[in-house]
Amino acid sequence: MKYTYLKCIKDGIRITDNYRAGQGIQIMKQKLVLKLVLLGDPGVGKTSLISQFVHAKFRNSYQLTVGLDISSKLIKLNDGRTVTLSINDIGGQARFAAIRHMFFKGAHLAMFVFDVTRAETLRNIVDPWHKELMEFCSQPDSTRSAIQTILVGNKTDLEDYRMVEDDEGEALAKKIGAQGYISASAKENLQVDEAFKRLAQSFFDQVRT
Amino acid sequence: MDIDTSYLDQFPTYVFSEIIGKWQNTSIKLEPNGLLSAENLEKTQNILESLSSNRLNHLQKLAGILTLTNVWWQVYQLSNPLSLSKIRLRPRTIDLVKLLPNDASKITAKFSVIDLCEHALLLVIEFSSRTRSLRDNYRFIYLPSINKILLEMKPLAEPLLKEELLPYLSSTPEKVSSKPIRARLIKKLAISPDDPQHRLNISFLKIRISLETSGIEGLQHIIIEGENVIRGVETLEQRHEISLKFMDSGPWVGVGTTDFHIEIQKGVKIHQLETDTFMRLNTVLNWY
Repeated sequence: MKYTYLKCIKDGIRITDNYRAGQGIQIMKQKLVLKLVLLGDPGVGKTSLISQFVHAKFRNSYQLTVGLDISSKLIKLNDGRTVTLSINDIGGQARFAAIRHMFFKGAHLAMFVFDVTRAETLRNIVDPWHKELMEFCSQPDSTRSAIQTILVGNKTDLEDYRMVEDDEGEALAKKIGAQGYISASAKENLQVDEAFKRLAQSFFDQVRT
Repeated sequence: MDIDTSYLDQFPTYVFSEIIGKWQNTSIKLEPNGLLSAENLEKTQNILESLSSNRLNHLQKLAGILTLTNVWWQVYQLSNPLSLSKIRLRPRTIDLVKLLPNDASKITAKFSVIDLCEHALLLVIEFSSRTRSLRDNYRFIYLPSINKILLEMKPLAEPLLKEELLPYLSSTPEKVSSKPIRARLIKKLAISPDDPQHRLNISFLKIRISLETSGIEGLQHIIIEGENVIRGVETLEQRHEISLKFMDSGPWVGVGTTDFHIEIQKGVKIHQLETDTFMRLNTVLNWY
């Protein structure tokens, strides 16, 4: 049975990420799974944000993400809805650029992450990160014409070393059409849940409107 | 007669000219490049030869207090300008019990002010005690035009400022707040204004490479030094058509010129106690 996307959300029916644009939604196992990709320069803290969000752990040492790491978490949104986030941690190194677009397939959500102590990582959100995602979305065989995005400035605990202000983050979020900007600290667990939940919530808000 | 002039190495030209002018009842003209610079050396020696031993001793003692170039200063903002009329070499008793609960001593402290130039005053609290072998001094540089005060990094500096110096110098309650050095100031200092011709000549730049960023133990900072490191890096990148990415690999945490050095978690170090230096320092510290 196929539902329209809007009807599905309105009826509170759980869906999988098998949704295909223009083809309705397939309902399987009554479980809604949203695929989320994290994008940003190496060392900005993508893995740390996921580790804090999923496992409530923070590691001081840095381990390079090779290609892709996937984890998932069931979350409850403010409106009481539950959703499983399938979180795809994509390696930020340039050498993974050639294969990165493969991981965008089927994504509903994208979180752009930069390091507030390195201004360069904010500039790189526009190009390559946002540019790559937009290029993927505009491809004819893309599964989605629009992915809900959010911009996250990580490492706000390093206040003395901070080189990017919140208003710069907010301005960039607006420029790239993201749902908003959140300054967070994976180390101190500040605004981490908020960032993931706000992004997931924006998916349903978009459907409603 | 050979006179030892080495202690005048860091002596501010302005202070020396003022003191000698007062003693000799005449105005002294020296180049603002230090007393032992090539332009001033002969004149300085002639002046010293004309002074009595008492006055030479006084200068030598003052030189000790004015040894400021290796000191790290912390920046504080004051809510109101200080009234300096009360500071006139007046001894005063300070109850150290307030500051050091384990020490019941009452210590005599002498407050004094020395004009380093028109833009900076040195406030000094000198302690002495007859019952204990205690001699120490605490120094503060007051920058009146931007209403900031620099504290020598010492254990009692902040309580002395808040509980002794400010109440003594101000009839109205003073609010004083610490202004820690942040990466934004360092970056602004290194690359502002946008017009490269008006930028400071940055001779030292320290970039923090944290473990989270580099992914390895053992690398903490990259330091680049030279006559003008920003211009040097830019030119090198253009000529060789390369990108020295280490400039963006971490926050800039320390920056230095021939006048001063500013570093996160350390503060400000002033290399020369001359008028031009303090003018530039006023400008820089007024940025935040």
